[in-house]
Amino acid sequence: MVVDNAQSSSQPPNLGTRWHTTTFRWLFAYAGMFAISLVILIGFVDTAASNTTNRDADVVIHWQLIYFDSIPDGQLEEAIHRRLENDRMHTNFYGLFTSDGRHIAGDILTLPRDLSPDGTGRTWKHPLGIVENQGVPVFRVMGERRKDGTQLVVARDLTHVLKIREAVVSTVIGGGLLTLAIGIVGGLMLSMRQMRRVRAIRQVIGRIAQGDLHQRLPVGGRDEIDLLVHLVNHMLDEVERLMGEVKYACDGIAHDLRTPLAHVRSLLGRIAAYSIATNNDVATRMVAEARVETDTLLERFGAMLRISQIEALQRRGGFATVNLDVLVQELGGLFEPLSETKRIEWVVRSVPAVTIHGDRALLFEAFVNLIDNAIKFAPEGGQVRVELSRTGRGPRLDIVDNGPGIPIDERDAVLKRFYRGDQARQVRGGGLGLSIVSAVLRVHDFTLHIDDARPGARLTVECWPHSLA
Amino acid sequence: MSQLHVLTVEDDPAAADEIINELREHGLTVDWVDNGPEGMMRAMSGQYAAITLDRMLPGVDGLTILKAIRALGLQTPVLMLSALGDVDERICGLRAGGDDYLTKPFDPGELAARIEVMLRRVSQKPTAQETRLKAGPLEIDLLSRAVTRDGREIELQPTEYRVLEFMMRHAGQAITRTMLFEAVWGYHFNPGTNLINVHVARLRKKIDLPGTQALIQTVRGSGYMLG
Repeated sequence: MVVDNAQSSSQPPNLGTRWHTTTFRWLFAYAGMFAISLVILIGFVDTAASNTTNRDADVVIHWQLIYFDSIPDGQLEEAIHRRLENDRMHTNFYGLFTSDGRHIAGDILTLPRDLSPDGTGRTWKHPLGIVENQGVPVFRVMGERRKDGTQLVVARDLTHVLKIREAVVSTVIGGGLLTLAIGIVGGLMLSMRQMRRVRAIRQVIGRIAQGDLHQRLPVGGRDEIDLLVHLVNHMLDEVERLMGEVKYACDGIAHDLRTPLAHVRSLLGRIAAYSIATNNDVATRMVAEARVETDTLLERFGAMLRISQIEALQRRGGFATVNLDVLVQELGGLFEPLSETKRIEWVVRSVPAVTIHGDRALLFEAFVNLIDNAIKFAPEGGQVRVELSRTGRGPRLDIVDNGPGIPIDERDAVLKRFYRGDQARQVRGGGLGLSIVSAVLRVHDFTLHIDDARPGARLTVECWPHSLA
Repeated sequence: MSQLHVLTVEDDPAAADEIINELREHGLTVDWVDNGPEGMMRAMSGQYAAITLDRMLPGVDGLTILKAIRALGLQTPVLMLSALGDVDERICGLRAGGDDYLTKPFDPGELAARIEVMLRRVSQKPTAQETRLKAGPLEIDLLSRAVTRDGREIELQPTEYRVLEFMMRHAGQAITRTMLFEAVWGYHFNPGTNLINVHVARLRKKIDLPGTQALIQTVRGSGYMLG
């Protein structure tokens, strides 16, 4: 079970990449839909065009057959020849065959084999054995069996019509592709522009999330985003004003109470000196107790103000390279005598050359608080371990004791101001130590996990930035 | 020994009262002014052994006074006092020429101890390079880091040595736990009473052998004194 630091109860969502993919996915979906409708459109145009040409050709051929029907059998050959001579454009072809398929007249030399002589039109794409055959032979053909048993075939060259149709279709395709390309490029450019704006806004929000409340989102664009940006900026103004007021009030209260308390404390000191001088033992003891209480109060106010100071600290102001291993060795030396007084086994493990970017003094203060707690809660003759290690993402510091541990449902609460667990009631302390730790880690963007060490508590500080930096 | 005069520039009468009482108990004479311009004039006279200087003052602020007297070449030790606020102010104050720095509200004992240390620092100007420190039966060789009591060598851990060295440099003066923590570990926060106590207890055990006089005294409230 892992409880996150109070700074954020869950990992911040990585809005960046998801946002990108959404935009592109939409863009490609639109492009795909456009392409599909273009294909359908071309299909429609093509089908309509070929239906029309076929029908037109059929009408022409049909009327020719009717015309030839009216010509007596004997004059048919002559009529075909005349027709051929008149046909300057040479778009119509004729063939007259005997009932067994022999060529009698016309420029269609062989009888199309599977042509049913029933007067329905067919489109043929192979040469029909035509004289002076040239070009792409696409014909509309119709055949008829005459009363004397001969077969008359009339064909019409569709090549020119088809060429026009192809031109139309390729124009539609070309235009469509051009429109699609322009659409994609335009869409990309527009979404890039929006993405740049969102990226700029994201960076600023990141800085605000890290505590820099003076930042404002970039305005400009006169669209929905701009409207939201103005609203958010207005909200930030309010938040900043309110936080300023709260901080001012807190500091004011702490300061106003601390000053008279300090006066009381020094007065108590003088009373103590006086009562010692007059050998008043009862008064001496009572004054000493009162001083302990005022000390506790002063300590708490001090810690409260310290938290405010740390939280108000301009981020990264005093940051430099910190050697964590050196820091851990220092901590080892600092706490060794204290752990010895409780006969605690004091184990410090470290790996060499671990550096991070941070505020050395603040981190030291935070670690002192954590270790101080561990030693407080470890039993007489217990064990406290401080272990620095390296992970794939950065260094981590583990502070493990074998005391009572921290119950799962209290792990979040212990990081809040003044919280003291049931186990802690017998132990002296202001209950602000972990809040100081929390504030320091928040400034660094590190996190603290509290785990069960069975028995005891394992506090893990992950020394790498966790939010969207 | 003539009376040592300390100038207190402080606009809060209650705090000033506290400072004056505490320093008088330590046998010091205190002149109090409650505004910047007058504080500036007095400080520039150069007649004070030490100055406690509030950071925020009516008229002229504390930092300006400090910079002005340092610009005149006056080396009067100055203890800066600051109301709460910026962590960076300490650095600011020390950079401007302050000798020490306390955040308000402070323990008057802490203030007095720091003033005493500052006065001592001035009165015993470092005579060339010291190589040995002596306090009663204790002696340390700063070069070899050897510690002896009545000629008998005492083995000390590096931290214990640094605690002892700091105490011996200020022998006969009250040293607060915070001062000790600042001097030996170099950090400026309150690490808790116990943590420093156990270090001193350990040192005591090593330098005070059974049957000999205890050399490190506990000063009421907040600190220790050697000798």
